[in-house]
Amino acid sequence: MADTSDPAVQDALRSLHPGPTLEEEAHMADEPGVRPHQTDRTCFNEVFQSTPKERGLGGHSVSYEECTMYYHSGLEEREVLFRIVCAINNGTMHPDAGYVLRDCYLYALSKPDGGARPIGVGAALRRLAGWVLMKHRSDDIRTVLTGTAPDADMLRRAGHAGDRRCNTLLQLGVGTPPTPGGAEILFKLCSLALASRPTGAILSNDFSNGFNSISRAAIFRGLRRWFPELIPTARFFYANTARLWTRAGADAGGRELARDSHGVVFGSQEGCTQGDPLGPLLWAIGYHMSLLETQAKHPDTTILAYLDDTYFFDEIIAAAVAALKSGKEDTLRLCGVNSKLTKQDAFSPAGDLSGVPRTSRARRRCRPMAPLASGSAPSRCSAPSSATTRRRPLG
Amino acid sequence: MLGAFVGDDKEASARLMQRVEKALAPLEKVVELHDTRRHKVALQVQLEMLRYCANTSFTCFLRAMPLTATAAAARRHDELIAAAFHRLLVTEVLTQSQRGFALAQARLPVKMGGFGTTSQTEVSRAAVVGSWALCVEPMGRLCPQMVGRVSICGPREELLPHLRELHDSHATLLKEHASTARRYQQQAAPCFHCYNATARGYLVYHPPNHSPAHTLLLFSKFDSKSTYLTTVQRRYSSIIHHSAWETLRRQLQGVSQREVVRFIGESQAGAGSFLNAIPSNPLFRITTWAMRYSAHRRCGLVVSDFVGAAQCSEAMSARGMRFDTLGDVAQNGGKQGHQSRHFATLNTLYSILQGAFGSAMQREPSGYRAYSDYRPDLACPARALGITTAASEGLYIGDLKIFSPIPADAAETPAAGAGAGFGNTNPWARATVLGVSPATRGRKGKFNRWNGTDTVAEVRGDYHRALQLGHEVQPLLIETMGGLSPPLMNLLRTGARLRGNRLSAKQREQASWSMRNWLTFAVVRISVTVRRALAEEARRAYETGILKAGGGGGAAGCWPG
Repeated sequence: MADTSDPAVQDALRSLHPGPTLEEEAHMADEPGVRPHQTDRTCFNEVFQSTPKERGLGGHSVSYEECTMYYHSGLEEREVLFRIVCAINNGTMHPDAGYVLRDCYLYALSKPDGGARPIGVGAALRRLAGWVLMKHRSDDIRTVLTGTAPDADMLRRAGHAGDRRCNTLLQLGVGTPPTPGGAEILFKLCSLALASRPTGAILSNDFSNGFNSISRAAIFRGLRRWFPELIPTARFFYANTARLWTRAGADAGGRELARDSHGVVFGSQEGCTQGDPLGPLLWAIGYHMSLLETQAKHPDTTILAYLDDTYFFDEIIAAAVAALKSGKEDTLRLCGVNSKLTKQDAFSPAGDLSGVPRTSRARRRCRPMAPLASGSAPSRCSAPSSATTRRRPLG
Repeated sequence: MLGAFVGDDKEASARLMQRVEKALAPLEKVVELHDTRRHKVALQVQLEMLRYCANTSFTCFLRAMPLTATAAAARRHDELIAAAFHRLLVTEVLTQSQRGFALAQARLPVKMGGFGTTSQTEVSRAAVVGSWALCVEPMGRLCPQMVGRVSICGPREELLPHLRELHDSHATLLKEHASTARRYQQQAAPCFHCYNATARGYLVYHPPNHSPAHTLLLFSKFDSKSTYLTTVQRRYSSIIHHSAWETLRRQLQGVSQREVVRFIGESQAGAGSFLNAIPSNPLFRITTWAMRYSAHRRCGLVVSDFVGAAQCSEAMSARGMRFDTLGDVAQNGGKQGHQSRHFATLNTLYSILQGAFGSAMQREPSGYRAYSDYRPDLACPARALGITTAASEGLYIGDLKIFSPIPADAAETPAAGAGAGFGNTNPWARATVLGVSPATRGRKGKFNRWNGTDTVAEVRGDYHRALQLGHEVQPLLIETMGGLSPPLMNLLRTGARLRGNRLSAKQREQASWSMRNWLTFAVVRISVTVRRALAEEARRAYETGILKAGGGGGAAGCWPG
């Protein structure tokens, strides 16, 4: 853990929480004629019957244990809890409650490069309510994120015929069943593609501080298109700045608002708040339009994404490079998220990668990413290059 | 890629090896954990970290990467886990073969007598098959442009290397399954029935849940919606575990009868549940010396914490026997008898059952003379358990017995326990509690335990009158190896059914993440209580013996805890 009272860590955390760009209230307005999300009682019961065993104390100092004990203490209490969850998930909770439920504790993990990785712990009730929603809607989410292809208008805008055959992009990080899990499918797809078409190439793209910096306008645009009933839910949490607390200070019961080294308080004003169970969904929905645009421009390229890790596979290496470039531009334009050049990578078993531009990461070869399953997360690391490799990083 | 490595197998293997070394480097610190003045559960925590945190960290790579890329790293992973295991149980003084047997047992799942530190090399084939079995259907559906042209079920020589590896793993596993199933089938034949002096037949024991052959899908069915795909890796892993269990049993037969009896005893239901206890609550804490004693007994290792002091002082047990290195004399021959372990276990069992059956469940009822000459440990109206009895207001009477399948003199270990589960204890418990009724007699001729021809003398049980009055009487047997007998497990299952298998608010507070339902909670609590009581009993036996022999005991500082 990094010390959040250290000015360097404070500045690092500040730099990861950009200021707001969403100014128009209209972005967050309800979609006319759409009924807000209705909480499913079965999913509510499944989540609250056995919450995780950790305490998970968030801003309002209520733990999972206490939520579960309240749930089990009687039918009336259970009904009260259900109404609270319904109100959170359809955005009808009293606005003052938002100050408590939005807050989250901000911790920092030290990164090998000396930076800080922010970890947020939100209110337990918010997380449980979020899980209820995700459990209920996971099938719909999966359908959208793995079953949407660019429409005819998009293809025409990209300079293709409207009825041209186009691949369906796959976002496998949200809504996929826990077994085998999206990561496993993605890995096997890539392995199979490279083994069956050894002259093709797979290129990867990653973003710099993606979750914290995706524009809320992109998120609400995505919600309006695919999940308009979730707009009130997202608005309840994201219409205002979420306060971030650190454990560094002794004031206010051992916590203080997150500040930079100059003492300026900062909060979560853009992107998804750390620790929000809806964060992966909001990221994926916000990012989906950008991916669709890229897919429309490169209909033959296979685009696979696992949250903020994106992979472009094509039998023609130049086409994969072009898709990566388009993806980078589209994401910046539509989501306001910058690609991290040092995390881009390329691999081809037998293809000629000489046309792939070199960057400072030219010595990097295999790239580990987020963990697949319950095992500990492997760290990102590099290895010396070898003369046998045909792999080159992209710039 | 996504936690694993894609690309050249050699390069990926080297990277994975580095990752394993880095991820398991903290094991060095884990094995150095020790008790403090406040916290006395270092070994319990260490074993859990080894099992739950360290050993599971490799599974995702096995599922995602090809065998050629994971083989070396899996071997290294196993080596590091094995080294930590040996250091935790202080096995360096033992012979290579003893260490080998202990490790082979530790590699088995807890329910099969092991410690749950599964060998990653062994399960790698199951992981490959399990992962592909679940991925084939969504891959074809979601990404036909990538998968459509790839032959997944074609002839082996036409397959891509990764798929060829999958075919080979699948074929090997099916072959292994058939071999184990054949062996189990042979053991189930009548000639392998094991009889005892009460003329009851017992099947030769093997662990339950060996996947039936029809649930192991053919390769061509991997893209189906079969329900057998849901826990497919577990299904295929069980083939490996059952095969390893059977192999170890056969190897132990070559060591001694005592070892086979021990191994079968440790494979019974609930015997290893103490390893699932997380010491977050005092109810589930096992102090380090007791944990080490239990672990040594479970693996058939020298109980090193006690043996040194006992041998130094040439101590003798209360029955005048020299203490052996494996703890059998201490476990059986304590001067103070076995009332302490009985008392502690009955208290726990009663408090658990009371949570399920309420005040209907009575412990050592005072008004028992109306229906029995012997005071029962537990009594409950049979209707509360959903049991129909011959008596109109019949009772369910349970008598708790904690028996050892291995006598103080291990050379005299009866053979029945080497074949059947509870083979050395259940007949004795039944004879004591229920007696041997004329109905079970009748086989004339010389006693032969393999075919049951025998003349059995009638034995009048403690609850003869209760049985005659039509009450339901059951011996609730627990072995000193920790196994809970079927009648006890049935009683607990009835309790679980009544409670909807849900924990009460209080129990939820006491339980940890490893116990999410009532039955698991109950079994773990009983198991922890039994192990603590057994360790305490052995400790007292050693202490008494050493003090009598003029040794220092605890005062001399050579005593654990």
